[in-house]
Amino acid sequence: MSQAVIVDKLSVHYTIEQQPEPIVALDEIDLSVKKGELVTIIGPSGCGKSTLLHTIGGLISPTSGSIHIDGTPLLGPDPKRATFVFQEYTLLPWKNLVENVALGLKFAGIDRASRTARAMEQLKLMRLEQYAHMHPDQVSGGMQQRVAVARALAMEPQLILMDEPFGALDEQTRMMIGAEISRIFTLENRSALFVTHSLDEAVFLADRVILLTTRPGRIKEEIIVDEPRPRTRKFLETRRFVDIRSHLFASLDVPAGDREGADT
Amino acid sequence: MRRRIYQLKIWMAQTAVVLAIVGLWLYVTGPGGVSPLLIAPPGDTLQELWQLIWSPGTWSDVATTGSEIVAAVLIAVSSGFVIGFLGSRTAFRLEVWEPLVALGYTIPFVVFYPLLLLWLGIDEASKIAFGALNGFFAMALNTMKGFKSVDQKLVRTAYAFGATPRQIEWAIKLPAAMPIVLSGVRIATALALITVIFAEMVGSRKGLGFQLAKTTGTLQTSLSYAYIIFILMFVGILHVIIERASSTRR
Repeated sequence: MSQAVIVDKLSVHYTIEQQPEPIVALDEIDLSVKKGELVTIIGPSGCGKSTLLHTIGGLISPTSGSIHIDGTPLLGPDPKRATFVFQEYTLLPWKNLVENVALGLKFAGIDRASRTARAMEQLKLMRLEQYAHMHPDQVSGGMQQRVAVARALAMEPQLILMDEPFGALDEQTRMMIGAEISRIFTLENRSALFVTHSLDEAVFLADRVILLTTRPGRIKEEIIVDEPRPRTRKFLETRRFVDIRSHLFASLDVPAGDREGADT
Repeated sequence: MRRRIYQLKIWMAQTAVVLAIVGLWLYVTGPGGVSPLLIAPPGDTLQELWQLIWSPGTWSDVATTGSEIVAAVLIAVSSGFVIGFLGSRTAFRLEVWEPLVALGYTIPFVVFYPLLLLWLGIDEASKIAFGALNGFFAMALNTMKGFKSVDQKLVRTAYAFGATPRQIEWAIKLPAAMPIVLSGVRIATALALITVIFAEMVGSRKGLGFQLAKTTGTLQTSLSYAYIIFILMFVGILHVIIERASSTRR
């Protein structure tokens, strides 16, 4: 497998008022994603995992370091190479679902007929084609997030960046959609970086789990999850899943009294 | 079924209230002995209303008042949108403009009407200016609020999906601001409408408001009642048209 994404010594510093020292959100992160690989990023809250994702996608300019996708440097958002699925539902409320899926295609200047056709294909993949002409407020939160995934996939990017996309959903729905995403990403051989604060989600979805530390954000550990994809819920009950999960839990080293960063 | 019977009961009660009011009206103008100069009998009022509808003079008043209202609304909505839009372009401009416009919204402009009459004369221009002035601030304030409240998450999403600055303006910010902007249109229209009619009542030579003031002043009570009903129907129709035109399509 060739490398789809190479992140080299990526640092992001912030300066805020009343504080002369810049805050080091990310400190020399080295990271790569192979073609077709699904990598999850986990860490305590405030560790900069969302910042890392937004920087890799070009929404935040790094203080130093570089991002290469498909061998060329990424200097700003480029939805042909990397698209986002954000934490909140970010569908346009005045557009129906198929128009929402076609958003990036519209901005790319693709004509209405072909962008609608491509968007419908993605909705079919998500088994949502019968809701194509409904508006976001007429469907459930889980469906809205699947539409957001379809919108990201419709661009046929090399890399999909997912920022706690199912954080607002209940555990049941989250695992169901997770399995669905896993199936589609495997089918289409997409690479993905997936930020989560749920240990179960991190292990269940990933080929590789990356553990970040807090301030400065550094990579503490990488764990390979050696289990073929797509996976079924049975994987959740296997010895290997439980072992990796408890190892990660120990590594997270959550200080007592500050446990909201990790779901247990 | 139970739901429908309940609905029927509501209608019956409402009809009873309306009938009671009409009954009271009939009573005080008949056996009650109140002078028809003070309260016109319902029969006379309806007769006057019927004649009013069939008189060409009425429709020339409708044309005068209607064109004043349309002009006032167009000026209020377009200038309010432009000022509201420009005033919301940066955080600095919003800080400067929003309190000023909000303050302007609270000014009772009726105190300026004599001045407007002095400057613009007794005919259409002063009515249009007065109506536009009253509608403008509601439109400008709502436009500012609309653009201010655009969800930044949607802007960021569009940026991430490759939108150019121009596409962010037209495809994201404008439609996102639209519901609040349209409620500005509705408020501005309602204000312009009522102030134009009021301005005609206070000082003018034609229009529905003028006729109402004239007939009341000359104790043609049943005719003035007919004008009141006519104006209420006219305003009602305009409201329905505006409501239809400015509702968000779904």
